[in-house]
Amino acid sequence: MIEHVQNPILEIHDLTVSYSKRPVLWNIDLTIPKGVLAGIIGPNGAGKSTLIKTAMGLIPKASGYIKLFDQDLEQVRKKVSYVPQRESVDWDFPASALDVVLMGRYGHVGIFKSLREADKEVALECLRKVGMESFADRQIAQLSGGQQQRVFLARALAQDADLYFMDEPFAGVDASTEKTIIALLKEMTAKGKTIIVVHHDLNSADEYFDWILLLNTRLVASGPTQKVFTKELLQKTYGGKLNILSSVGDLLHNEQFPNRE
Amino acid sequence: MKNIVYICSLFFLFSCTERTTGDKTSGKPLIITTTGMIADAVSNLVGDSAQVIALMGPGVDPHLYKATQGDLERLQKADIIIYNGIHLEGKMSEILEKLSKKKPVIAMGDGISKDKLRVLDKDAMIYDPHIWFDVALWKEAVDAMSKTLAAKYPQLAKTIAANKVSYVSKLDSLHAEVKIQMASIPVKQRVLITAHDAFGYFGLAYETEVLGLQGISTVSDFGLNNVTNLVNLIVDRKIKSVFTETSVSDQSIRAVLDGCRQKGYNISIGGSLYSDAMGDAGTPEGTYVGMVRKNVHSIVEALK
Amino acid sequence: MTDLIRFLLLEDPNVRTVVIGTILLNLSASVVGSFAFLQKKSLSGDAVAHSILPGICIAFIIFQTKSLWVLLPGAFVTGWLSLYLVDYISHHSKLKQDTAIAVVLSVFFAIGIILLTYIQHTGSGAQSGLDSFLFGKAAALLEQDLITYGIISILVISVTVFFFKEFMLISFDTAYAASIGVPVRNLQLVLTTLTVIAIVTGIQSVGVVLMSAMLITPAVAARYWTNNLKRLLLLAVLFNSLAAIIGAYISYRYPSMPTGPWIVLVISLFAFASILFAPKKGVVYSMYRVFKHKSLILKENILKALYQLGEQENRFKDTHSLNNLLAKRRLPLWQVYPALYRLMFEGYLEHTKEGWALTPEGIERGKRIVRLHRLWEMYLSKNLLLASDHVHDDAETIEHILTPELEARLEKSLNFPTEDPHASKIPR
Repeated sequence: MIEHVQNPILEIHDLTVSYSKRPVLWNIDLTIPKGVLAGIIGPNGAGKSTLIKTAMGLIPKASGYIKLFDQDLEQVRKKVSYVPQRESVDWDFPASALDVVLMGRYGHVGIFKSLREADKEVALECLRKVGMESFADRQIAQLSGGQQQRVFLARALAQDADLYFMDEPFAGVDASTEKTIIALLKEMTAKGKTIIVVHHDLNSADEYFDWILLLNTRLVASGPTQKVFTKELLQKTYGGKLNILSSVGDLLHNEQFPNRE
Repeated sequence: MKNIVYICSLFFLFSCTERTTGDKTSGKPLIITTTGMIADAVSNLVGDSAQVIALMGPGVDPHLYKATQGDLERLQKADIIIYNGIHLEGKMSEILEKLSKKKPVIAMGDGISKDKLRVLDKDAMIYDPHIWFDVALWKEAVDAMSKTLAAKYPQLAKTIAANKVSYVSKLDSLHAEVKIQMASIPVKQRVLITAHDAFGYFGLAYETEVLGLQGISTVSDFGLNNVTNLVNLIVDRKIKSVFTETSVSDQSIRAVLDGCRQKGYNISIGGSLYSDAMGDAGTPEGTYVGMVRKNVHSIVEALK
Repeated sequence: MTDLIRFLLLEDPNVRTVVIGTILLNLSASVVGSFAFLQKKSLSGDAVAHSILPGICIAFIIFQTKSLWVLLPGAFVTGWLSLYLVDYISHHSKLKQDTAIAVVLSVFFAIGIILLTYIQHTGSGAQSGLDSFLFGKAAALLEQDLITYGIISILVISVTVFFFKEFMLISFDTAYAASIGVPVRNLQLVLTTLTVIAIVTGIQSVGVVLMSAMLITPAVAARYWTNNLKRLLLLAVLFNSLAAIIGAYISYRYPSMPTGPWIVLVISLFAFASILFAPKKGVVYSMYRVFKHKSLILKENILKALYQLGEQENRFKDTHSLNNLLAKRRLPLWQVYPALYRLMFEGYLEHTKEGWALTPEGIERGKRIVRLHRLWEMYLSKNLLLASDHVHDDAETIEHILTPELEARLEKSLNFPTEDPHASKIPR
């Protein structure tokens, strides 16, 4: 069940991504419409993080292409924002919450210039949106997991983008923080932003998202929640890897065989 | 691929060892010395009847010299090894000790009685090794060495004795010459400043005040204290020149000059003295006598 | 004393040169080194420093001159090459970065020593003074070179200031930086080049073997005093300069003290002192905090015990002997005496021949502790559903830490209880 849309904000065509020649994403083909709050759901190791990292140009593609706003990433960087996983960073760095959020303004300011008062105000406003304005000067190492996640979110907001990729924004986050965040995300999509989230928890998926991608190395389904979030499709996603596909993957890895001729 | 690596490493290993060409073909005794000064002295004693080779060439610092694999091979082939002793060859003591178990290893310094040596530390029994700077003292060592060599090679005893007589008389006149030359410098200006404390015996023998920046060995470091003290001394006493040494870097002396210049006192380098090594072979400075003469000449010219 | 004054006034020209020279030479190192420290690349600075030796030797062998304009570029080449190799090896083989660094460092340095020994055997060798690159010859710095060092320092620091926010970003979150279009690779290249330049210049003061200390140690010391990156850099520079001055002074005051190694020793002492004594993060501070807590707990436990003794007959002003007190609550004897006298001094206790009695303040304080204890027990039993015999130990600790604000919240949420799970009265 893969629904395709006209004028997608994100188009992925025949995408394969490999680690050491072993494909972790096989022939992904999908489109996502503008203005949705989309969730990428799948078991561990399904390639969910890999998908959005590839969309952000952080991982090379073995085949296929990805178009955002019907263009290449390079041309539309200013419109795209990325929230990495919280553990991807060492929080012991000497910086305050405000310092981190200000990083979201670097794209607007440019490389040789310094930040202005206006940037600082935007940053503080974003901290306010995630309920962290009183922590602006706090050292990030002193923040709890949920607070750190909110700082990352505020940083993404500071970019003032139209398309957001978020990697497990609710991992290790307490229930009330999660409520705050999801409310904020829904507010953003109501204003026309598109948000694509890698989500780890099946139970809340149908409540949070209006578009769902079911992923397990290959795309099982992509479409509006009611159509996709069905028992059989979920079973297909979580029912273990396709055995033959896995074996072929192993073979490609052992022989270091190229993915495309 | 693995085979190529093996072959390359074997090749590499072999090419690293020096090959010394037939030293023993002539059948003459092979005497290997450490410094050039010793080689020069021994050559003058044995003449053509033995082959004399020095390990350390011109410009090499004996305090820092570390013997290589090639040196070891040559030393193994020697019949007699003669070194300076008194810890001049600081980094070779272990090797010399090991070799002394297999063949005669003799120190020039042994030919001089301990009470004639400059004492640096009475308790630790550390003495100044730069004995060749006092020509008379060096003569004594040469004299003693000639007797030792004659005892080892009785068949050459006559030649050695004869050579010794003429060489010793050369040394005597050199000694007198140096004395006169140095005396021609007015006392106040008779101050010899060099990179390290090599010229102690020179100072004693020829009534010259001697100062070095580094200590008795170039291994020891010098600090800001040594530099500033020397600068102040030079400026206060209006010393005319300082001297670099051929076997030691002139970095330290340049810093001293720099300091003097900044204090408004212009001083230059009086010349480069042969301290722990002689000049190039084939030149007058490549012999002991020539080297001493050149040194004195430079000193007198600069300080008078 | 006069020596110190003479030194500080920089009267001797060599002192001037050495102090200014070593400060300038290590200035850039402490700045770029801080980034290396934060990026957890401290060891690669060491690799570069050691890898510089063969470059210097090769340059000397080829050009037969000891001019810095020839030797330092040679140093730069092999220094840069070593970093490239570390990167290449860790990305294209099974070896991890730390192994790659260890291998590259040892091989390059070994080659350097071989070349150095070879040079020392040749005539011009000893004159070259190349072995001074091993530990630096700070005492032999020349005035004419100060300008060069100054220019290099200004260059390195300017570029760092220029790219400050980008360097901060790529040191903190590389993936995010790439995602917003920051040229991560190129910027890292710039930072690396600056680091190699800083190392190559700094080597003249402290030498190859000790250079990595000048890169990393100032940042280590500074990290304990601030959580702000800009301030960290400034502090690193400050510590660096102080160490240079002190090291130079020691070399000035005492004969035959090599300047470079002393500078490294001083900056290391700064780092150790910071680790021990920095407020909040220092080891000594942590130990002090532990001690403070223990003494607070002991004092409050004494007051609590006396109050509880008073509760038995509702007579709080009674005097109790030490034995009575210890019977009510077992306390470590040798600590009790000082605690009692401390409490007396602070006005919570009165001491007479018969023993100890609570003052009005003491009664209030003791009452409060007991109250907090029982409130907390109620809270645990109601919200964590713990049995009444499981709540006591926890309350023993928490009673000492609850703030008045938390106390108010507790009461409100428990609906102003009057009794605890053991049916003891909760005093108001």
